[in-house]
Amino acid sequence: MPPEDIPARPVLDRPHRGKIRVTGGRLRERRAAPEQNEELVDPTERLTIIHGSDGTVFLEGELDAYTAPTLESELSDGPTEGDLRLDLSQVSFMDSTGIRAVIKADNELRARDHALVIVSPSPAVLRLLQLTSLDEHLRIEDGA
Amino acid sequence: MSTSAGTDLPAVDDAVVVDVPARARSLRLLRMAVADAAADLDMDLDTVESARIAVDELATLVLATATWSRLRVRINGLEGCLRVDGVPRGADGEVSAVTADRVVAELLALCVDEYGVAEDSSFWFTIDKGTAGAVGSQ
Repeated sequence: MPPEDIPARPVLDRPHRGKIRVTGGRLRERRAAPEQNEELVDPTERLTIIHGSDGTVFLEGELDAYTAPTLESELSDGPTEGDLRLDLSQVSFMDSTGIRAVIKADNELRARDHALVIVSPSPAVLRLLQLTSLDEHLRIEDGA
Repeated sequence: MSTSAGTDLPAVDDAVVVDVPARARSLRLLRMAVADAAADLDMDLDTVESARIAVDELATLVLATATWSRLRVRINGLEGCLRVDGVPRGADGEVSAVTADRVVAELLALCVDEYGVAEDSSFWFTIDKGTAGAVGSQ
């Protein structure tokens, strides 16, 4: 729980269960039922990673040199079976270190005959993927 | 032009100088300052985003060359052109050469009009309101 003097806020408004990691190495287990989804996170954290019950990994925050190592570590510890869906709808910034984390995950999944699916990239993320032509190589889906 | 007493500086210097710890955690503050300056120049959203990416990528490159103490970034908007200069200070140990991989080089080439990194790891870039941002309009 955040300190009392820091205003708290819900992480996401979508229901999910699983574990949550925020930059700084803290890991929380999500056990709340969907209708009780009021997980609170310190608003100063830069990136929140939430593992949904359906195998989707939700990211919220910014992907840069500070936070990308956390994502790389998290994805390398991820499931070894099936495709990985990475929801980037709440990522407000991504740079080349974020791209490298995504490419690394994609390569590792392809080596296991699975796929990385980018779900609902935010406008900033989509623009970056287009600038680097990665939108032609990665599988991108609109999550709506 | 009126000047401050005893200096050659103009009475009002519109440049913004951000001096931050030379850590990756400081990148967000640099992005915010540069985005604010770009917005003040009435640059469109794609160009503002390009400015954010550029300062982030260049600062990340420079921070990787050594364990620096501080990073000072000077942001100046003049006549529709954004000019950003970054200078790291206080290296602990040897300073390695700046190396940009293909993705970083491509991003910088697409996001700014001109950029450079010197041997002392200082960097700069410019974005002109009239020419930048077109690549982001796809």
